[in-house]
Amino acid sequence: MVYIDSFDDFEKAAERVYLNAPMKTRCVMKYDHVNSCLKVKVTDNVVCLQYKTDSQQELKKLEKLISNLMKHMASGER
Amino acid sequence: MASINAWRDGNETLIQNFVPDDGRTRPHPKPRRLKNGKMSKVTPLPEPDEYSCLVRAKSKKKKISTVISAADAMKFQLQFAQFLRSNMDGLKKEKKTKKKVKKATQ
Repeated sequence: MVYIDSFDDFEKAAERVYLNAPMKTRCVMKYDHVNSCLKVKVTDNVVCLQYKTDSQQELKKLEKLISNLMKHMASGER
Repeated sequence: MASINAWRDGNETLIQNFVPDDGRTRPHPKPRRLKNGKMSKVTPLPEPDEYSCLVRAKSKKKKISTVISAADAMKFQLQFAQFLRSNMDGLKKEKKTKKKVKKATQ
């Protein structure tokens, strides 16, 4: 599977995917301690976006993105 | 919430999944063809009052899940951020470049 290189591109694309199909979109986060790798996937079963990192700095950015998505999911869907 | 944040099976792969949840326990009803040839009438499922977020966590040995409502989202977010920073310590930290401060010559 192809990974997106830039975090900013991944963030914009993920928000676009979520806004197009809020009920179908899911976000998966996979942490592999042995390979020190964090992979994040956002998909609506049509478009699949993946991002991979091994940096603590990007972990913080990813955490904010996932928290935002989670707040939107928990709030009223329209 | 507390069980997800307190649980970690050592140095293993951990997968977390965030999915929007509308509280349905039944599939959407579909119109079926009856014996007299007509299609059955279908009443759609009622729209939920509150939407929530279903969070699943999985490791090699265990699977757990929880539902987060809008009221709990803030609290979960703070605990989740703390959990990520403390437990995902295998990731690389960026080195800060130290600036040499020259002593002022008197």
